[in-house]
Amino acid sequence: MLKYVLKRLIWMIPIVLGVAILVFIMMTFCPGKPEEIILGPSATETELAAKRLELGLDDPIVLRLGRYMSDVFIHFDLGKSWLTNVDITSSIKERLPRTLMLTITTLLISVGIGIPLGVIAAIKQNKWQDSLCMVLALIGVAIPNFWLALLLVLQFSVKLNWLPALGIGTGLAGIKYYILPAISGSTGGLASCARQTRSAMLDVIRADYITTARSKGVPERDVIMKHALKNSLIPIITVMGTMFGHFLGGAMIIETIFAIPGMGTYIIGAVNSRDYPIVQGGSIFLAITFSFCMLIVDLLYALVDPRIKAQYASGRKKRKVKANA
Amino acid sequence: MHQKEINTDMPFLSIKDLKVEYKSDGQIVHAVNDVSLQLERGKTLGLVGETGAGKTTIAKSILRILPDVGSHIANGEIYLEGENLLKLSETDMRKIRGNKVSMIFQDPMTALNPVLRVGDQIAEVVSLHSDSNNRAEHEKRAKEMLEIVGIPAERYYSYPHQFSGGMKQRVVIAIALACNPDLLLADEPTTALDVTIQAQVLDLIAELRNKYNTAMLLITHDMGVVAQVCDTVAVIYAGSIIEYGTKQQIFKHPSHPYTIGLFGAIPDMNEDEEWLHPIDGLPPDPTNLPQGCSFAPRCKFATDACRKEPISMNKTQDGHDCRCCRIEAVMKGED
Repeated sequence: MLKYVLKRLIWMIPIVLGVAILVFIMMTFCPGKPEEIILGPSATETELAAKRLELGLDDPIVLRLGRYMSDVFIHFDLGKSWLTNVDITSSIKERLPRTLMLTITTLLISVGIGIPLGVIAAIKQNKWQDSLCMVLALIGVAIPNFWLALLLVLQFSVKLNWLPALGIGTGLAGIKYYILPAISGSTGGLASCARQTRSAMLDVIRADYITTARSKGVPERDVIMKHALKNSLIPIITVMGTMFGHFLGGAMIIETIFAIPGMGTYIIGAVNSRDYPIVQGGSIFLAITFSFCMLIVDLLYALVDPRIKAQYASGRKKRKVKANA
Repeated sequence: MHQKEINTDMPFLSIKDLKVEYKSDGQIVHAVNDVSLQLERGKTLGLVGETGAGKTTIAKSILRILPDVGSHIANGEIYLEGENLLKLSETDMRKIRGNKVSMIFQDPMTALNPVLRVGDQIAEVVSLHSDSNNRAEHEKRAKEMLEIVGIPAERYYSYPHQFSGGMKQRVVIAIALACNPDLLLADEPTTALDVTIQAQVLDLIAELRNKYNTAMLLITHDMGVVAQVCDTVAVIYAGSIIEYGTKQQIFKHPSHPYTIGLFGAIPDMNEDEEWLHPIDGLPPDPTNLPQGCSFAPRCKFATDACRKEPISMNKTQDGHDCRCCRIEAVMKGED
């Protein structure tokens, strides 16, 4: 098991390198000149040339890429913002926890409501409860995040004055700043979680071992919670992993609407001002975060299904059920 | 405790006019039609018939574990020690399942929960029907059961995927017998196993039953297994019992053309036969059963009278029941 985790961690290195190179090249081919944005429209030609020289923008792309990669992966230095001259690593240290807080809250809401909705829909298949849950799921997918965000702010911040409309707070009281953003961001994931849970549960509750459980006299609630749900969790966990990535990306919109100084607003601002080092550094950190999340997903599989755990331990790739006759 | 109307004159298990229907695509599938059976304590009744004849449905009706969607017990009574199981509340029924009545399932590969340890699956049934909350005690009993079915107790912590088919079936049997049931419903317990393991499993079941005087309803399509294990036999065709008697009666004097056909389809070691004698045709469509005898379309003895209206049970010469109105003609072999 430990060997498996180690192997996965080593695999993360080429992934992060790949992301770094890709983002670097994409930013280079991005239209718009950073020096013009940094110095403003009044800058003279000589000032612009001096800035280009200072940022090394006149060097060939291979040289710049090599310099950047050695800075990041050998000296572990993401550099400074071209615009504000603030150290990027310390900015990310400050901002990443906020984005994680937002993303995890969003995930918890999606899963915490999505799974029960899916379970209810499955056990009441073709009854009105099922239809209700699936209509809610459909609405969840169809509703645009930014629109829901504005409606929620209007109702709960402006009219009722229960929750703050934007910004962040400190300490425990800071949690309430994440409630509206997380709800707005969760609807799509919540809906796909509910649908996935429903279909996985429907597969499982027809299985023979569920009949076995009933024939043992297991109460219906335990049949569902103990015997069926655990078997349905594999596809649900898969959805959770992709949802997490989706929420990380979605955080850009949600953070902008709610003015949360997280990774999303950081990267969006940097893209607008062509602040290449921030976009590159931010992307690398998001890639690492997502890779860790995927590793956690794979470890959760092993926790839920002993067959997958056995497969990790033996180091086999293909899923073969072992029978020692 | 709930009120019991115990009638001591009644047999241990008595099924009366059981009728089970499934709804599928707006059509009604007549899975079990007016089945009546009796079983005494410690005896074994074999339910014989081909796939889809309704054997498993009868067993699941006794435990009331038919699938919720679409299935429905349209009529009938099932008495266990004089108590009508179909009238019990779900809570009372749950106390019977796995405890007084338990079931061994057909396919050991799918009957065990893949994500739970086998020992815990045995301990679960013990804890559900035990008065104590002592987990260690339940675990001890589960380990004891594993030993009884011939699996080392330390395999308690293994998962089903680490077991072979025969071992899984032993676990299924251990679950079924963990609470010393009075009635065991064995649904083709050996079908999924190879022949050497089949014999071991049958011996194991027989041994455990003798020890606890358990009655058994054995579902099978294997006449060899019936001959080895059963006291009485009910032959099922298209959801109805068409012949019902002791093992000796059925094996010595099979009287229904279908039963005779079944025996004709078994190779006889003493005769040098090149061809078996299968029964021509297929079982009727259960959504659209024939008006008269359901076997009439395949029966070479059938007359217009057979096709007109349902046939009642008739007594044969040696006194067992047979749902055929042309027993004499069949016995003489006249067409």
